[in-house]
Amino acid sequence: MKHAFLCLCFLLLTACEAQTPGVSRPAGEKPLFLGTEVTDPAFSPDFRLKDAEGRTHALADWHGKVVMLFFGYASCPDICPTTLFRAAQVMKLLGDDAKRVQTLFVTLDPMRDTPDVLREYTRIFHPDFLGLYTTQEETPRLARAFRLFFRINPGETPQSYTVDHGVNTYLYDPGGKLRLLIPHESPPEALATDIRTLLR
Amino acid sequence: MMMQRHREPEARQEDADKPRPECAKAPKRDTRKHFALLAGPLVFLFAGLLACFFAPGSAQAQQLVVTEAWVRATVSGQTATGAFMKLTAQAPLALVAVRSAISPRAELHEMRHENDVMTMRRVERLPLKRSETTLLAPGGLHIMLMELAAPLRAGDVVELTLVVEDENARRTEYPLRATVRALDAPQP
Repeated sequence: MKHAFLCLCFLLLTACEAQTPGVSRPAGEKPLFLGTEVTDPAFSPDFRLKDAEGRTHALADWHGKVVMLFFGYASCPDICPTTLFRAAQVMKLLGDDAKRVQTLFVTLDPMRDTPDVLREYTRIFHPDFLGLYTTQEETPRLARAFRLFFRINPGETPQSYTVDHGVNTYLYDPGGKLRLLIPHESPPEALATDIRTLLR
Repeated sequence: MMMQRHREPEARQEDADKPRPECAKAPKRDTRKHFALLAGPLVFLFAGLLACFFAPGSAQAQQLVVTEAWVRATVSGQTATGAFMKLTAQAPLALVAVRSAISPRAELHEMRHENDVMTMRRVERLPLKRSETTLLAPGGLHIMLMELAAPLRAGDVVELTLVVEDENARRTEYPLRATVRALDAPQP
């Protein structure tokens, strides 16, 4: 019995090791990142999404760059513009390093966020930000792949619905691996610090 | 007297850049009443005149004070945005409806941010306690202006009407003006 328990402990430990290659640290050591590490080979969603010009994109398009991705919709009254505003501040804080970061705003409301809306909406915050979308049918599947909470609340008219959604920002390292989840409250300075660490 | 729908003078707005309510816009009373009840409207008229002289000193005219009203700008094709302000009631009131010429569907909503999820719900009735300031601000309560026909540009002025109910279920309308702020402006 005791052996079995030790075995289990060992297995759990090795499992943890396997999940965080290269980032495991002895207990008590200062963490490498300010955001929540999610480095896990089983959870690093890729995607095939269109931009406003109709070009299809996947993570590989930004190999060598940190990808900062979040979901939202243009009719969102405050969380989404705040997230985009913070992303723009992060770009400013990064200075030259900003060239090695791609920000992606993925709409959860492709019906109202037409390509034209998406293009103008994202560019207001930063000329390099890219708005991406998929079909309405595919959007819930996309959210599931990102383990993202997503729900449409029907309104009184077909156009007046609202969208509930997860507000974390996903950070991918330059190798295209999902590494960090950043909460909405996290300040731009913390994001910039973590992005610099990922770029190192 | 029966429940009477009437229009109060403009809600007092205390923004530095906004003019105080003008007396010319003072009460438009509904006088579709029997002749025998004329005394009532006359008293109201007199009160209205007094309000004109002492505006904004009249208690009637100041049941609701609205300050720092603003609306977030939109891009072409975007059909919804939020309106934000501070509401201070001078008596127990409830905000029951919002109207705006630019939006056929203006609703009061409450946004919640819990466990990394943003949710939004319609609020049918918002109680406003006496002498308390209620914030309609990003991250919480706000007015959703939906089905917008045209984009709102920074610097535009949007006219809104708040419909407020007092303890006697008497409804009063407060017209106000909100300035449009840039989409990428920092949160005030």
